[in-house]
Amino acid sequence: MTRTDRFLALAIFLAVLAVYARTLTPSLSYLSPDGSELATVPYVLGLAHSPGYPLYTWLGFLFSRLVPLGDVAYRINLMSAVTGALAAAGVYWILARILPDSIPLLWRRAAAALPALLLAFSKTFWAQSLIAEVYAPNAAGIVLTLIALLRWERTRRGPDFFLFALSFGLSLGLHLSDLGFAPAFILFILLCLFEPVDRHGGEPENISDAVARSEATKQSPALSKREIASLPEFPLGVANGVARNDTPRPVRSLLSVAVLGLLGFAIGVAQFLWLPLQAGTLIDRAMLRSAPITLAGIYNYTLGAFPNFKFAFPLTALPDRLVIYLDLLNQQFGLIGIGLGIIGLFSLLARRTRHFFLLAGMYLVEIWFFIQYSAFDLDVFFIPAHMLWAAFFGFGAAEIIGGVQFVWEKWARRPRAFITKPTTVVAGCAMILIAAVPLHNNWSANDFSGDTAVNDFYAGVWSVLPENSALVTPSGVFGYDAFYWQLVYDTRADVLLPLLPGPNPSAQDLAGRDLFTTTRAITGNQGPGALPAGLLTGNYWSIPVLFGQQPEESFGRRETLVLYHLTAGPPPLREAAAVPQFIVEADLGPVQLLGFDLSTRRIESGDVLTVKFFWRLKSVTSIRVETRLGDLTLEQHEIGLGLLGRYSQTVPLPPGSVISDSFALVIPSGTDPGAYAFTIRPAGIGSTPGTAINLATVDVINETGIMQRWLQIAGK
Amino acid sequence: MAANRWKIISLSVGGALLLLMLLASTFSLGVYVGEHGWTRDGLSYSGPGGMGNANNRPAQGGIPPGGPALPGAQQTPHPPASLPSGRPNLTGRILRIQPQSIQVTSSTGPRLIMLTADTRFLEQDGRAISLLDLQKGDVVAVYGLFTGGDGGELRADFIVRLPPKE
Repeated sequence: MTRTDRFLALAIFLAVLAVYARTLTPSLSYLSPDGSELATVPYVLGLAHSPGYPLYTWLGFLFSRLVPLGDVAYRINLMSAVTGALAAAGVYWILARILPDSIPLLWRRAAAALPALLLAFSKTFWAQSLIAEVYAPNAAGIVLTLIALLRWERTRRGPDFFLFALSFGLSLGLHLSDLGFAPAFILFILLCLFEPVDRHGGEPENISDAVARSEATKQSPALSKREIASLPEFPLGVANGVARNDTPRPVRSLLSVAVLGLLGFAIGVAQFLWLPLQAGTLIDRAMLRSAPITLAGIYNYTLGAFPNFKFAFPLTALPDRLVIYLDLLNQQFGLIGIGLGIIGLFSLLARRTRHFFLLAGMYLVEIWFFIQYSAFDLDVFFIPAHMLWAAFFGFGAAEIIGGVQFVWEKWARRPRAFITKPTTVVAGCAMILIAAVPLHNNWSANDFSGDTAVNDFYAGVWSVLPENSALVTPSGVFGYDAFYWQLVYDTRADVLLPLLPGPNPSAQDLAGRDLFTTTRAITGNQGPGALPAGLLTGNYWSIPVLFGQQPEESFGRRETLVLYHLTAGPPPLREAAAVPQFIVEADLGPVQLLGFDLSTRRIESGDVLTVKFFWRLKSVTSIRVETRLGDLTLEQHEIGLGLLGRYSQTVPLPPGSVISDSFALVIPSGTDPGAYAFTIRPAGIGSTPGTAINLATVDVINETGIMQRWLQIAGK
Repeated sequence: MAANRWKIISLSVGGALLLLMLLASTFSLGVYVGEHGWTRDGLSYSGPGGMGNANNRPAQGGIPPGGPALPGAQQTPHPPASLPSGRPNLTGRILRIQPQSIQVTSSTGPRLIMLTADTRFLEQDGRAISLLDLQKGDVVAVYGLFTGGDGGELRADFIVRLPPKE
């Protein structure tokens, strides 16, 4: 690596980091199912879900404690951004090291930089670099392991091999699937030690090759004198099976490597001792079933985890699974990227055979394992494969450049010098600019900087919950969007989160407390996140009292953010005497909107707006309505808070009865200051929304910063 | 000599590996396109009884799916409705959800299920749910009336969400 290469790697790191920082998720989000847990556990040095992620936890701890920016979740998100940018720079580093010398240096650098940037701005890699997740740190771990291995390949020094083995062992604490790379690493190491050297022809694969050849042919190697002089001694005594003193001792070298490798790897893997040490902090019933407190438990928590996800498909399903991978690959690099990657694979085989078996071996193991993996978020598991494909892409790009150069020289019948250095620099930079295409195309989908829904909602929840109430959340990993606040900031310590102290709270824990919940699935569910049987046994009325931001475009991107009040009796829907603050008297078919109350007409973005609608029923027929602020849907509900059918069986509702819906709405933090029309309109399933009724003009102000507001509510 | 022999062997092995990769990919793509055409309809990320597909992040376990809230409608113990009698017209996995229709897999390819204002959504135990509770990847039984010239569309009277297979 020359100084220029180091500078370029740094430039890539900074450029990618700048983009990631601009689009970073500001705090908690639902973009990952585990994200809230992975944002919380590092701060409290707890134990994450299987396989535990010890190194991730420790790195996250450092980020959460040392970075003086944002809240804790933001700092963990930032860790993903930093490590994602590091991985992209690492891809450049690796490619700059192994791309063939058949094209000029400037072009080679462009061919190394382009795939690094394409990877950085690819859909999945970018998205995972913006949230609290393990995939970006793991990508960095893999890249650093590869760099260490390639360094050992060049120097053949024992300490370098130890570093590689240590790095490999440590990377398992970022994602255990990295263990699948071991066969490719071992094959590569054996090839390095035993591969016969072509002493007369071919392109040297490294300095050791070059030296061996030069000694054999008594000719100057294709390397500078300075590089030769800087070659370290080879304590292992071997360069591709040929010692400097021509004493082949590959077996002895293999033994040395094995000892150093096992030592480094064992030290790296020793991080998993964290599991039994912290097993007492587990609060997830599913995880506790294989608590890592015995050897069998540790195995079940790590290598044996999620057995029903692995190899979940019969042989006949594999073609479809392979197509799913190809579809995901296409989403990252496009058809041109796939084509260049295929060319690159052949190029890698022809020009860097040893590296072909390393990188293609890693790639094939990854693909083989994960196409048989059953997970809804399958795309993220292929990130290491995408990273390897970026390397293949680099080789493909180098081949294309070499081909163009060859044709140009033949066609133009001009000497190579005709392509001047400035021309090359400009063309190389233009080539790197291709990365602007995915940057532009994926920006809107990956700009999570406005994703404030979860924090806004919980800021509202902590504001509206009465003193000494209980908030029933989903259990385990899926309850951490609420647990985060109390574990990290000790927010509203008077409010009981029954699923937080332990996984099996009883109904007695809730006695005497006003009950609230963030999940509608309070009974009858058995999946992950389900509540323990017997916790909520009453025939409760679930009354929505607070609506968080509701997505309009996609199903399933977020959970429904609604806070329910659980009561034994029916809510006071029927109004004996309706005296609305604002009169409307609009006919909506089976009901008439008489009017409404509004808590305020001037509100800080991120705060909650309380509203109460008064409806006159023509019959007990519920309709669905949605309230909007400008173009933004704040919520949708069936009048009578969705409870009209049950309510009418308890309280008679003759035609002409007046009922009311009263609830609070979160005004999203990202709402720009200004005056907005507050409207309501029918929104039936299977029909286009009805005409909006203008209710009031609401002024949204923004006097407190978003993060400052969240931290204030958190109690910091 | 040894180096040349090694080079030939490694190139042959590597070349064979690459050809195998290309062959497997081409074969898989051919099979898929034959079944689903140039669409993404057959791309289900999770396995049988799994939790999602190509464009979807499903709910985790007991958490209800995202989307606009329909408060109280699901958790309230509405009197269980009677499930329609007889066999459903179609059972399959949801591929796509739109305001007025859903697309469901079937043994003969994706089928469009038209929703009307009268379409009722139920759990298998008869509890009422709503369209918003359904998500891509869910297995549903549809009771209704096949419409359209080729019978490819089904106007749904009842859509019953079936529990995922264990």
